[in-house]
Amino acid sequence: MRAVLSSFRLDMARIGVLSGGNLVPLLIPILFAVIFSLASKGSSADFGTGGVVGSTFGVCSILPMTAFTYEWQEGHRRMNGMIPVGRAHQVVGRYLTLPVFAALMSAEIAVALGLNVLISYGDLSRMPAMLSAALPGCVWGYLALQLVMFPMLYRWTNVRKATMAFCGLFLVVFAVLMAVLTLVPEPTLDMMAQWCVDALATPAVGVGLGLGSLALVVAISLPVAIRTYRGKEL
Amino acid sequence: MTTTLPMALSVTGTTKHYNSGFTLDDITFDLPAGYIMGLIGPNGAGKSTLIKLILNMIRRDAGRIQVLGLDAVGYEEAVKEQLGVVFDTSYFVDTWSVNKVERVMRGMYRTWHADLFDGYLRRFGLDRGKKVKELSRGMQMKLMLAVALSHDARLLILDEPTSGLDVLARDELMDILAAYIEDGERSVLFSTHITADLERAADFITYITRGELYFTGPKDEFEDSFRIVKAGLDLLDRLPAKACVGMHRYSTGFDALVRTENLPLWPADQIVVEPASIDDIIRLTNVGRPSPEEV
Amino acid sequence: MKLIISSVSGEPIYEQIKDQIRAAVLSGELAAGEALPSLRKLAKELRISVLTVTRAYNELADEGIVENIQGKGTFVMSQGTELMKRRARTRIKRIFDETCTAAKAADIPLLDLMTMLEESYKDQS
Repeated sequence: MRAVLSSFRLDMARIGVLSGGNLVPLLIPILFAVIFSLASKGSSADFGTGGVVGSTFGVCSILPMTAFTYEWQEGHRRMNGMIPVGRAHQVVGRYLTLPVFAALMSAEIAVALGLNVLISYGDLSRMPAMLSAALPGCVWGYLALQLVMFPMLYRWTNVRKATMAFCGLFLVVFAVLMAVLTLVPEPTLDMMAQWCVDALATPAVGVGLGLGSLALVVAISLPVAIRTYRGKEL
Repeated sequence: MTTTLPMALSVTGTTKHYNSGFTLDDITFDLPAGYIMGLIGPNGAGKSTLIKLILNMIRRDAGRIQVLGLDAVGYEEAVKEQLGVVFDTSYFVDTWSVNKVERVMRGMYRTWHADLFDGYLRRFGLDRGKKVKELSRGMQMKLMLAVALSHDARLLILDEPTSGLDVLARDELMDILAAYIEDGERSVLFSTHITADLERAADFITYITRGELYFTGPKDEFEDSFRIVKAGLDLLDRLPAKACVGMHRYSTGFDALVRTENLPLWPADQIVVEPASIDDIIRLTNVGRPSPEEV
Repeated sequence: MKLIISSVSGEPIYEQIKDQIRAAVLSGELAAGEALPSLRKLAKELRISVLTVTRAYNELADEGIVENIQGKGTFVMSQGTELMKRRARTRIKRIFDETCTAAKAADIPLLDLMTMLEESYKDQS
């Protein structure tokens, strides 16, 4: 346990969330929110929401990956080799950074949207509704994305290769989806869609499905990542 | 009752094959606790590979490695808790300040002696506010050393720590190492191709060349088992095949590395015999035997 | 105790240590029962390998001049001085034998020989 936390702290120190280099990109979505809302004062500010969420999502996506990019340098690989943390623990420690960045992203979205709403409407009464609409899906998407990327980043020590593998995966998912949509008869599809909408309408079920599906992804992603990293030569 | 010496490091039959064709083959040696061992050999001989194997950074194809009595793979975390490592280049994030380095490293180990670390910072003249990238190479090495010495490490592994250091810094390092092993329980594995540092202070030598173990044992024995024979070129044709291990020829004569037991093969009145230094031995064992065509 | 090691003298370092310790015992600088410097401390101060000092101390112990006491250190044996004196006498006797042979071969009388001895002895002090 201790080793896992050490590794977690090391990764956080390497990523350097609060360091100057990272702070600037983090502030950009907030800046964007302010500028956009000032510029579109009077017209619907809801479009800004998408921009805010998207840009925050993007910036925060890169952060956990920088832990990997350090290791692609010789010096840092050596550090991974000499610290008293075994390979499996190093992987778990890195996975622990994800909730931190998900929380960071949520906080930033809240702040940016808050400013957006404040400037456009003068009060924060809309906030709870906006946040409950934006955040869960956002956090789920963020975590799902990272959980799929991590094993690939352990496998391919190269951003390009990892991203291509990721795109490849998405193509497969897309192909499966298309296959389902074309091959499954329409009434069945309608029924499935209705079922989904009903299920997600209930918060408890929605949250349950969200957490459950994430747990499933972790259950696959983590062991794969550990096995990959264990086999690696530093 | 006889007590066997506790071993700081025990490497048995360790082998590693690389796809490139290089093989570290069947390496076996022991470092008893309380001593300094020089791991020597020319560049590319396999020293760094061996250190990576000890650190479990790469996988071995055969053999066993035990550090401080524990298997290097099975008890990796317990082993590394007691290991201090210094490389030839810094492993820290170069935007970290020295202060941040301490904050990060102290969280890695169970015991951390802040007073010792502070003492080393002052002794080495390391400014807490300076960033790693602002430090010279020698200072970066000293920072790694300060970290290695501040968490109760019982084995120090240094991988080419002195390349790029001036004589004063290297001298100071040897002083620190001698003080480190003074308690008779802590040990040092010092991998280098600059052997001047080891000439006096090393207790044991493990000599690896072209992936093979050439010698392991006390340094005095290593040096004693060879002599440098100097003679005129006219002697070359009359040499028996096994007369020397390697030689360096020049216009007015040659230097040959000869195993001490083979000394009688040489005509005593026509040669000058000198003790062989570690440098001499490495140099001349990598030259190869003279062949008639080379003349 | 004074110990000066030369890396260029050609004589192995452990021999130099032995010679100088013997000399110190002989001259009384190291008294019987007195402890030699701790093995590791000496190695550190002279910047030489621990094994080298160990070898010197062990060989001196074999000669009976010092004694290694586990856990306590290395001490000068009380008969260390006498042993060394006996060794010195043996060596001197051998040198005298050679000297006399050489003197007789060159026809140098005993009295001349004794004068030469006296001069040498006085020069040394």
